[in-house]
Order: sequence, then structure tokens, then C-alpha cells
Amino acid sequence: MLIPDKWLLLIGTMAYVAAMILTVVRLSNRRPPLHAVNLVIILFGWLTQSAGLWMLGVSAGSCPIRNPFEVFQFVSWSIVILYLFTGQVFRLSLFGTGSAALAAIMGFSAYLIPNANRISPHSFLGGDPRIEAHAALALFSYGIFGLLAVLSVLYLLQNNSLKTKKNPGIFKFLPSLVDMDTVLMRLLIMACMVYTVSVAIGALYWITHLEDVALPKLTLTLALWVAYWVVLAMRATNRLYGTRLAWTCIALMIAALVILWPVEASRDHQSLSTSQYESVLKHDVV
Amino acid sequence: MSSDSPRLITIGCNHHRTPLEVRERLALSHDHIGQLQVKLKGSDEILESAILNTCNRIEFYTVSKTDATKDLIAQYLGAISGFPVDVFMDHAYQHRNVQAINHMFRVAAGLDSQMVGETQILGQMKSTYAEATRHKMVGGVLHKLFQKSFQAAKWARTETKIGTGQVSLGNVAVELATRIFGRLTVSRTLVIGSGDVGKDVAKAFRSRGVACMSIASRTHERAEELSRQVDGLVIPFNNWEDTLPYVDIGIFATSAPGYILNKATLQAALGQRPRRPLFLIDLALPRDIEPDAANLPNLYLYNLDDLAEIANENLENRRREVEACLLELDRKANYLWKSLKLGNNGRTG
Repeated sequence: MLIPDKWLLLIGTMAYVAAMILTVVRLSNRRPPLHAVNLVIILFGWLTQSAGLWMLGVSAGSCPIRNPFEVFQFVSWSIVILYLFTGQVFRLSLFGTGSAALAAIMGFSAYLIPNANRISPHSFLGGDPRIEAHAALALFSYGIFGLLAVLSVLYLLQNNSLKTKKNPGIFKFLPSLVDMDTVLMRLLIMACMVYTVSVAIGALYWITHLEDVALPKLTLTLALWVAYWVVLAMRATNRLYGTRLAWTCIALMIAALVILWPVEASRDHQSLSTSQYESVLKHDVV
Repeated sequence: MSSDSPRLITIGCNHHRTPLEVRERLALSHDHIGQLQVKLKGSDEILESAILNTCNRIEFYTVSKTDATKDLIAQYLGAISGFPVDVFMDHAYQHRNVQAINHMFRVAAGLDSQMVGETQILGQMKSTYAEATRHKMVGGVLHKLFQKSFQAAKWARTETKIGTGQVSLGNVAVELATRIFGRLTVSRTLVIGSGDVGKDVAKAFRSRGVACMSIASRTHERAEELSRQVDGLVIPFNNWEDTLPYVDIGIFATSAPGYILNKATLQAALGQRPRRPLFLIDLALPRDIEPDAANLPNLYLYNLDDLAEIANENLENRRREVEACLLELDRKANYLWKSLKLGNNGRTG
């Protein structure tokens, strides 16, 4: 049986699905999406998900990113909060539906991963606030990577429709290519900035505790960081744009999700520092 | 019908059964039409004739002595424009007597048009009638047929709802541009040619507030006239290619016999404006832009057929209205056929 925090997270995820289904039904009936209703449903889902994560955070005594279940829920939550802020500024049609769809996929994935909510002593972030800040910011930047991927999918759909001259009802509600290109650039900048801060905070810890850092995790984290900066630089110098940029953003998001596994695995294999060990004892986790 | 009584015959090629690639080869200049009129007038077989020549169709309305009119016209076309006789014979349709009247009514009412319910065709039919009259090729039969066609078109437009909800080419083009650029108030537009279709589309873009509009035409006076109507800037026809890297939307509607813009030129222009998409609308027939250019990334190329197809998407909503209109036109055609008293017209051909 699910405990209340898991129920709240599930209800939040279901709300994202409801927002997505509502738009799909409207579009299949050749009617425009109900932006305000969608926003309210997504906001309800996010509040419910926030409550679930808050309860998990209280029980953890830290940011609730102790295992794959919590990581996926946190990324899902990040995608939606970022949409709630940036979506209102960028005002791109169907961006909310796309964001809700990705948030729902991430939310449900958390329930489908085997042993996802197993909490081992190594799962705790407590003890050093730099690690917690680094991890939370890194996962928050995953939310931005997610929005980049959502927008890239919308871009590819619009481009494909215009190129093939197929015009089902959905496409006239998609944002324009130029608007999406502009927002892609802004999100790329945001992703690079947030991820850089995350990497920088993490580096403050690694420098002094090099023995605690797993090499695969460090390598993959830095590789992803460099990849996003390269993409940003190429976009800024007009060497990567349009459909190639969209495909690259989708590929990077998939890569970012894939490298979560080695990063998660490294948590189980790394040795505990003294402060982490004390934190584990304090929470009495076996 | 006795073999020597006159027949009413309509022969033609249109967008329904002739692909764009063939139609653009078949496009005739004003001079060609004049020469054809002279040929038809000199023929012993043909008593009356008129030629409707638009970007989507060429049709010959004739009153003939024999049934061999299609072969005769194919040969005349081949001799004047070089269009292969066998290709014309393959693609051309032929309607006789009451079917010919019915077809003409449908054409005049815009029910046979690529964009069903459009009104431009009626003006083109009136020009056809005027031109044939000027060549003294219109006799009692065609005169009555044209007058009744105009009346039928007027009836269809005023008494039915076939035009309701119809989307113009200009609106379709503007909507596509909005899907590419978002706000058009910062988009720069280039208009090449100053034909009627191009003019309508240019006006639609102007009404949506495009940032600036440059116009180039071989006929400087017509470019000036269009520039006054759309508040545009006339540029020399020889220099328009230089402006390509700086425009977002290009409307091409010239009467040039071949492509005036090829893939290589467009590739070079796109290279000078990375990231910024280019939307090109080719309204000309024969086409102005090499079709292969559509494969270039960041380039969106639409021709007349593409726009018409989108415009007709809402045709489903009007289908019942159109069907009722077709039935009534059919009844009117039968009535006219009986009144024409051509041979034994109690039987239809």
C-alpha cells in the first residue's frame, strides 16, 4: 500500500496526464487548447507533487533525492516549476502540454523502476550542504534540459508539418519556428548557467574530498556540462540551429537521463565520509 | 443527333487530372492564345470558339461540325507552342453538348476551381468571352452559353453558401508565414511580378503589417502601381536577387517561361542568413522557383497547388451546399441545352 507522500506524488502525476489528455481531446476535435484550464490543472498537480516531496524531504531531513524514485520525481517537479515560471514569460502555445507530458513520463517512470525507492545508508546527502546544493541544482538543471527537449520536439513537429505540407489541426496551435528558436537559446543559456553553478559547488567539495568522488560520476558530469556549453557556443555562433539543434537537445536530454544510472550507482559504491556517517547514524537507517 | 449537325464541345486540361509539371509546360502566353484564335477561326471544322487560359486550366469552348475537334486542337497547340500532341491527348478531357454546358456552368460558378467557390474565375471567363468576341469567334450559341454561365455563376454566389467560410490564397500564405515567423511586423517581404494572384497575396501580407515590402517587376509601371496599393518600395528587376539574404518572405508571380530562382542561388542566400528561415510562395505557372530547393533546410517553399490544398481543407463543411448547387446547375444546363435546339438535342451526348 502506498504511503501518503507516494499518493500525493501519484495524484500530481495524474494531474499532468489529465492536462495532456484534455489538450489532445480538444485538438483532435479541431478546437483550440484551453490554456487557462490547463494551467490550473498543471498548477494543482505541481502543488500536490510539492506536498509529496515536502513530506519525503521532512522524513529525509534533506532534499528528497536519495534514490531513483525521488530523483525522477524531483526532475518531474523541476520541469513543471520551470514551465510555470518561464512558460508565462515565453507564452508558447502547447509548451505547457508538452511539459506536462514529460513531467508525467518522469513521474510514472519513478514508479516503474525496480527497487527505485530503496533507501541505503549511502543515499543520504546530509553532512555536507555543498553536496546537497550541488545535487539539487544539478537535478533542477535537468528540469531545464527537459524543457529544452520538449521545445525541441514541438520545433521538429512544426518544421515537419511545414516541410511536408501536412496540416492537421494540431499544427496551427504550435508556436512559430522563430519564437521557439529564440526560447531554445534562452533555455540553453539558463541550463548552462544553472548546471555550471551546480558543477562549481560540487567542485568545492571534490577538491577537498577527492578520494570520495567516483571517477565515472565526475567524468560523466563534466562531459555533460561541456556538451551543453559546446552546444550553446555553436548556437551562438550560428553553427548549430534549426532541426539539428532540436535533435541535439533531445539527444543531450536522453544522455543526461542515461548518465543518471552510473551517477546513482556511484552513490552506492562510494565510501562515506565521517560527517555523512554521522548523518546516517542520526537518521538510524539500516 | 445527325452526323452533320453542330456539336457543342469543351476540351481542356485542368488541375483535376493534369499535374503541375504538365500544366506549367502547357501555360500559354497572350501571343499564343491570339495565334490559336486565328487558327481556330480559319478552321472549316469549327464554327464558334473561345479559349479560357488561366494558371490552372486551359479550355476550348467550341461549336464544331465534327467530333474530331480534340485532335485538331492538339495539333494547333503543338504547332504554335510546341506542346506534344500525345501528351495533350493523354491529359485532355472532352465534354459534349449538355455535359459541356454543365461543365461551363460549374467553371463559372467556381465549383470546378482548385479553391472551390473562388470568384476570380468568373472575371477570367468574362475576359475569355470578350477576347473571343473581339476575334469574331462568338456566334449565337456561344453568346447564349456565356450569358447563361454568368447568370448561373451569379445565382450560385448569391443564392447559395458555396463561398461561405472560403479561405483565400493570401490568408493561407499569411497563416503559414505566422507559423514560421510568429509576428509578421518584423518580417521583410519581396514581391516578384505583379500579376493578380501575386497582388492579392501581397495585399494580404500588407494587411497583416509586414515590416517592409519590396516589389520588382519586368514592367516597371505595374510594379509602381502595386507599390502604391501595398505601400511598398519598387526595386530594379535586375537587382532583386541581391536582396534575397535580407528578406523573410518571397512572393513569386511572374510570367517567366522558366525558373528565375534556382537551388544554388537560394543555398547561397541562406548561407548569408543562417538561422533565419526563408518562406517562398511560388504562385507562377510555369513555376518561378526550382522545386528541388524545397529540400534546403530552413527554406519553406509552397506553390499554387500546396496553398489551394490547404485552403480547401474546410471544404468538408461546405460539401452539402456544393452538392445542392451542383444539382441545380445540372438542371439549369439541361434547360439551356433544350432551348439551344442544336440538332436532335432531346438526347444528350
